[in-house]
Amino acid sequence: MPSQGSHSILVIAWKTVVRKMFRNVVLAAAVALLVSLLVFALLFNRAVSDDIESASRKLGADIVLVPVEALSKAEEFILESKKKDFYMDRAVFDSVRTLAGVKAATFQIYLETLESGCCSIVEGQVIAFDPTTDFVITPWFKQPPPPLGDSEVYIGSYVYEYLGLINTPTLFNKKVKVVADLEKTGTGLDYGIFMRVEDLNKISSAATGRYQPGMISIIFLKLDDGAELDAVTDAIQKAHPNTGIMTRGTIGADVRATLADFTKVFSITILISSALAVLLAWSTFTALANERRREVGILRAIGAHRGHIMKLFMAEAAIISLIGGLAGIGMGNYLIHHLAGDLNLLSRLGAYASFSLLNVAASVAAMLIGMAVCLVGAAVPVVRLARMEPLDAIKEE
Amino acid sequence: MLIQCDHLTKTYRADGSVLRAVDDVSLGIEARDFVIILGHSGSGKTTLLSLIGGLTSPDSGAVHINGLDYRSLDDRSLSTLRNRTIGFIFQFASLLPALTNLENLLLPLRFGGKPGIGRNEGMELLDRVGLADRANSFPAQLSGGQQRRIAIARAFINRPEIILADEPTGDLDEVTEREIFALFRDFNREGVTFMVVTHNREFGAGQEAPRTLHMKAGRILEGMGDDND
Repeated sequence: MPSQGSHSILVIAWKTVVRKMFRNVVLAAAVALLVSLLVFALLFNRAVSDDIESASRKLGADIVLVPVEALSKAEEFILESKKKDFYMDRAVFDSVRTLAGVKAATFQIYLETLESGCCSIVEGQVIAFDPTTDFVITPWFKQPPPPLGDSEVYIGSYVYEYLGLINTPTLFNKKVKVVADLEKTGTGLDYGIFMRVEDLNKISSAATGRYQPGMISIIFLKLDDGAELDAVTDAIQKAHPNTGIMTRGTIGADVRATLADFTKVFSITILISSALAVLLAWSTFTALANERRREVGILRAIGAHRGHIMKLFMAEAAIISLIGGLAGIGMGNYLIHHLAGDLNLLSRLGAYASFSLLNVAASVAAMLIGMAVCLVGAAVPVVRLARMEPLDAIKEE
Repeated sequence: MLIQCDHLTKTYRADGSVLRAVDDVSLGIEARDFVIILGHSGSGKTTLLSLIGGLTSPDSGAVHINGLDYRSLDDRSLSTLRNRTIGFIFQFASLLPALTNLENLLLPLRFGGKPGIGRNEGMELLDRVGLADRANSFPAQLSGGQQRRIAIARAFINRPEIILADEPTGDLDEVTEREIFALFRDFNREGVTFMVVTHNREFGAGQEAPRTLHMKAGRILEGMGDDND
């Protein structure tokens, strides 16, 4: 009964590993370090990528237009929630909204509260928008919000938490009333204080900083189903060469480039760690094979064939690497969850590795890779041992 | 003929010279025989036993067990034959330290084993070697002689037709040696064939005469007296 035999061999392997656990700790620790590095790299990569993807997806636009010199600033606002102010002519909006393939268009104007010398909402980004065309803000209300009236604002989730129960903040030396708040978006919108464009005219020019009437900060375009993204961006580029264009795929290009560099560093580190783990597994099992030659000879004499010997020793390697792999998953997840806050890139993005099926799968994949590395290292001495003639093994020369 | 060896030769190379450990040995052993092979260290008796047990391959010649030629067997088949037909007893205890004494005794069953044999048979054998009360302790908790008795019991677990024993009483006291020989004789009467390699001329002394072979320089000198060693 092969299954019975395999089960028994696993039991023997487990008992042997446990008996000499201290000696196996070094190899298990090496696998744990490798797996933790893999887990950390995979989860870090996924956390950053996901954050970029979700931020661009949450804005609800296929194309985002900003002044060409403000591309990086706009990304910082979208991805890192940094307060920004940059402007372009509103004529760009009037032009691109009528392009073929454009289904909907809206714009926003960014003002900075601090630089504008106001106000009780020190960490907010004042955003003027057009409620009649908006498709960026509106989806983030739990219920349809009341229309904005004079001196009324909507606020983002972070600002809502910051304001607490005080619902009559001061904005540009003027009392305003909060009438609705957005759900958490994970983008710069969380820091927004949203007012109507027409109300900008009621704010003194001294308070609005660099903003001038007839200027806007950012344009969001939603395309018709089936419209070709490249064709629309080409048309925009041709008509407005000084306009910076971001699409869903290109938002976060700088961060993606940084991430690619990180990935290269991780890859090199993982390759070196893997090579070291292979060497350690090889040397551990070479020593173990020499030490247990006679035992193998005896097992062969009482009826174990080469396959049994392979199974026994590879099962030991698998058990050691499984223990190391599980520890590595724990270490890797601990690192990503507790130490990632110290990593500037992650903290700026607000990204972190959340618990998900994909992250569990990534952790398991990392463990399997760690186990495979250990098994590869162990395989050479184990195969040599299994191929040895029983008499040569028993002699222990 | 249960065991048939035809012109067996086995050589070893070391430091540029060739040593003929077994030199053109032909031998036949009937079922239920009790054969003792005497010889000095290096005379080739362990190598001959290993060739008969399929633990090593001859340079030339053939071994047949029940008419089955080893040369026709692959590793798996030869291992199955060792598992079910032959029981090995070595000059050292050779127990796995991580397993209990009973688990060690039952170890051959993990690699195949004959159907219907299990824990009860293991306990019977432990009782027979006087160690039933040590079934669940570990080899390290036993004396050298007790470990050897567990290893002997293990050789019988699959009810083999043949027992190949290499210096089975090597460093044991006379009393234990006599007990082990008596045990071998009991199994022999029950139908098990024995080939025992030893350099101890007193092994089995005073018992009913077994067939004794002498080995010298890799050759069999059957039925010759002490002076032929």
